[in-house]
Amino acid sequence: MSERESVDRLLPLPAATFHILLSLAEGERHGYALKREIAQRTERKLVLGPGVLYGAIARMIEQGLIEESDDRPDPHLDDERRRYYRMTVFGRRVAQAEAARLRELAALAAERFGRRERA
Amino acid sequence: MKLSERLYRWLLKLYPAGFRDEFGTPLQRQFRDDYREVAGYRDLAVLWLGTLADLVRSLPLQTAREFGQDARHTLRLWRRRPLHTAFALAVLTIAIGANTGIFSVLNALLLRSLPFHDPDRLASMRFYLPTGAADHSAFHDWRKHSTYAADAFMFTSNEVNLEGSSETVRTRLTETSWNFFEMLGARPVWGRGFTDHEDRPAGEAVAVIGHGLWHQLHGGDPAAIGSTIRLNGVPFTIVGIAPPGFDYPSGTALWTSTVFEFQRVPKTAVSFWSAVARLKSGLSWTQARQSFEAEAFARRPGSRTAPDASRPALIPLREELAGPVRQASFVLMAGAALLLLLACANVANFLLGHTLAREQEFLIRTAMGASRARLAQQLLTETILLAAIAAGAGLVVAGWTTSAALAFQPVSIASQTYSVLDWRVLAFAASLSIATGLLFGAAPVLSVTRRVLAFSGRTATAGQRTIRLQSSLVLIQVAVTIVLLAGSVALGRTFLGLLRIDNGYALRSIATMSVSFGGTPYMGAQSRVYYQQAVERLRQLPNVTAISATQVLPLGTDAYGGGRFNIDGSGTETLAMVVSVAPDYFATLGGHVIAGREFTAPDLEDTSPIAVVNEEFARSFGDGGSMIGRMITGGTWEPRRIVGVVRGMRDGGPLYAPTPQIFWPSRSARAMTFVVKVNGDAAAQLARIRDALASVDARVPVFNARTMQQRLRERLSRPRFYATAVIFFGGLALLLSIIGVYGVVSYACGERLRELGIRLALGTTPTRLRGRLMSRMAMLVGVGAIAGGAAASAGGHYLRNLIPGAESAMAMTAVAAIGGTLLVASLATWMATRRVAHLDVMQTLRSE
Repeated sequence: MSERESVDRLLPLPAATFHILLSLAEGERHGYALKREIAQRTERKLVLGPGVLYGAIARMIEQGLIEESDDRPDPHLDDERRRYYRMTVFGRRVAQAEAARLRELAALAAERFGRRERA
Repeated sequence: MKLSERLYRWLLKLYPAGFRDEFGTPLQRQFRDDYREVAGYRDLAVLWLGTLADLVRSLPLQTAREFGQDARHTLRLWRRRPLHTAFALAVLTIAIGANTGIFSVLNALLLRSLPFHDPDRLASMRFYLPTGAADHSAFHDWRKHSTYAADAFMFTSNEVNLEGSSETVRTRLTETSWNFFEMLGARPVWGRGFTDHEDRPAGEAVAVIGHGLWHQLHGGDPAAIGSTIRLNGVPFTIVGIAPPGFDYPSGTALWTSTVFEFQRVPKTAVSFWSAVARLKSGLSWTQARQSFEAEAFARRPGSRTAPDASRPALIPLREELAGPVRQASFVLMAGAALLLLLACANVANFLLGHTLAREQEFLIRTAMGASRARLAQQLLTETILLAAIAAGAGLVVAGWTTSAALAFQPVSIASQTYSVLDWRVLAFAASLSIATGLLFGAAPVLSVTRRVLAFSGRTATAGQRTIRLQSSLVLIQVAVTIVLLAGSVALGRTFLGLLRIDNGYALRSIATMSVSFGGTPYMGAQSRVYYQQAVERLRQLPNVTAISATQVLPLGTDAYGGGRFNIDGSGTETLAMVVSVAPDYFATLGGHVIAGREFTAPDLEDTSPIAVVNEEFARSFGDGGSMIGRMITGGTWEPRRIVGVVRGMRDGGPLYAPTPQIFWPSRSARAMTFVVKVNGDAAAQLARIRDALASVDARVPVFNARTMQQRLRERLSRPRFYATAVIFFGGLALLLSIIGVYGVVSYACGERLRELGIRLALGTTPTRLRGRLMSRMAMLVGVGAIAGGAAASAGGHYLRNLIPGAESAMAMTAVAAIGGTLLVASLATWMATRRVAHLDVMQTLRSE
């Protein structure tokens, strides 16, 4: 399977997966940080419980989108027992492809429905 | 630790082991982080609601994901060992299929609801009529004042002639009291049921017609209501159509409200009256039984001490309808359950061996962080998957079982038809597959997790433990095999014995068929006219050598009449069955006249009261020869002079000894069964004979045309089915044990090669070593055999429910089964230890 195909196969990404990748694009995160960031970014519309979050993480590791990292980038803020995750190169490609897909969709929507600023 | 955290940790156990191993700690961590932000009960409630919702969302996903992984791994393993997997699947399929099939029979008989209103409160009154006789006002009086019955109906069921447009057909008529449909809650789909007091003598002649017959006669046209039908010549107006599938009792196609009027529909055979009650609400079965017995024993004081087989009893209608099939099905179910246990032990043994071979895999997975729970989950997925596939395939086997059972033990009403496609049966098969998966998965799981815990390599102790586990499985296998084998041999021998019994009549050369004169001009004394015409017509057929007729044919019916008789007005009265027969009956049927003579043609024209008795009757009063010329007396019967004594015939077939019988010349009949003796096989000539008889008069229907051989085969079909089923169980059990013993011994030999090598080096001969192995196995098998033998002897009496008499063969057969199993087990051991005989000391030690 070419890389293009394996990227396409994963699209469209589930919301949780895309948001996790969005957060990891800024750097490594542990699970709780991911949860808080995502909740904040979505104005608490997407709050990931532990089961759903780690279920998504397990699947993303399996798919090669993310991996566990041993680094502890922010030691004074943090507790070293936490597990950190980072995005893989493949993960970045998939996220880019998803972003492109969303852009195209948004463009199409703008064309059909017209633009309107958020209330 | 906080209660909430403890609770959450406990909830985490619901996740599959792999996910728990991997993310258990971070999950708890995150919960703790969330918990820290909680301020007050509201927050706590929100946290818990969110956590539970999270659990509900993620649990199925994770379980499915991990099951998928384990299942894929399992399939890869199976592909590597296709033969073993196929064998295990086949064994489990047969065992689960047999269990499911028999369960579907029990489900139909005992669990599935009857098509009546509140059926569990319906009670059949066995050997008791509340008013003694079929009396209209007395019965309804009793019904209204009964202490235990809220309501009750009475009925009698007979076959009658139904005159159609072109020909007369036989159909089952049930005469009932008016409240029959109302009490059962069966509402006619067209028209009405019977109305209040429509059952009074000389009342309206109205009938309700069965749904099937309605379609047959009127093509499902509602205009059938109001039309007239003739039953045994008597006209009835159809007022209602019964709901589809409603054929209670015993496949009835027509109902009339004439139960209290014996003469209304002329009877052509012996009739019985029965009553069914609905228990008063609030009354328990025990209380109802007490009231019933108090009433029954007060009315018929003698019945209190009557044997169980004829004592009045109030039994659930469902039990009455299930009949003897119920007991037999329970015994077969026990046999099938034993077979399943055996299959589980066998497959467990198999898996145990394979699991050990996979030790490397498990050690590596442990090293990579898999917990015991994760390994156990993998193994249990393998076993449950195996069992689930077997259960799926087992449904096909179950389907065959039920259709075979339906052929051999027909249901008493249509709604009880056995079916696999019923939620209870499917649930049973599903739970059976999970239970068996757990049962035969337990041994390998225990073995692996223990080993991994010890983190030992290939140590002698682990091997020993496995051998011990396998040995106990062999012990169970041997014991179960002996029970099944002894049962199957006992049933087989008893069944063959039944085939060898001389019933006292010929089989192959006799064609039989019945006629009924209901509604024809031949009813009563005119029957002789019909008989003469029939004999003349049949005599012209080639190959026919003798013709006669009887009112009650051996193997022909279960209903007969009789009374108590003695000789010359003295001696103890003997209960005897009374049968009227045509001339040359015994010569035609292949019976034997021991003394005097049988009836001849002139006896029909004569009116002198004469009788022939059988040996069984004569024996109560003296020897056969001395009976000639003496008078049979009893009750209100006219005294009859004995002109002959014949050898007894087995009326009920080989299972039942001949009973006392008295024969009268058939001078006036309402129905008769022709007995036609032919040269060669009667089956080939049956159709021709039936056509010839039917051509005598189209108004007289000819039915039940069968040879005596066919009738006997039908009688024995149930014992044959049971014997075949149990022999199949026994044979399969023996095969499984042989494989089990062989597997264990050869595994033990392989595991202990090193030890054996050292022993050889120390000077033992291979023959001695082999002897040691064999004697150890013999001990094991011996212990299992004793346990099995004891169980077989203790449980032997249950075989009576399959074939009466088989229980007596059980004890002796158990000994034979023990001997046979020991022999076969020794043979298997001998085969499995072959390689010990050719052991090369140096090679063995080097390779280890």
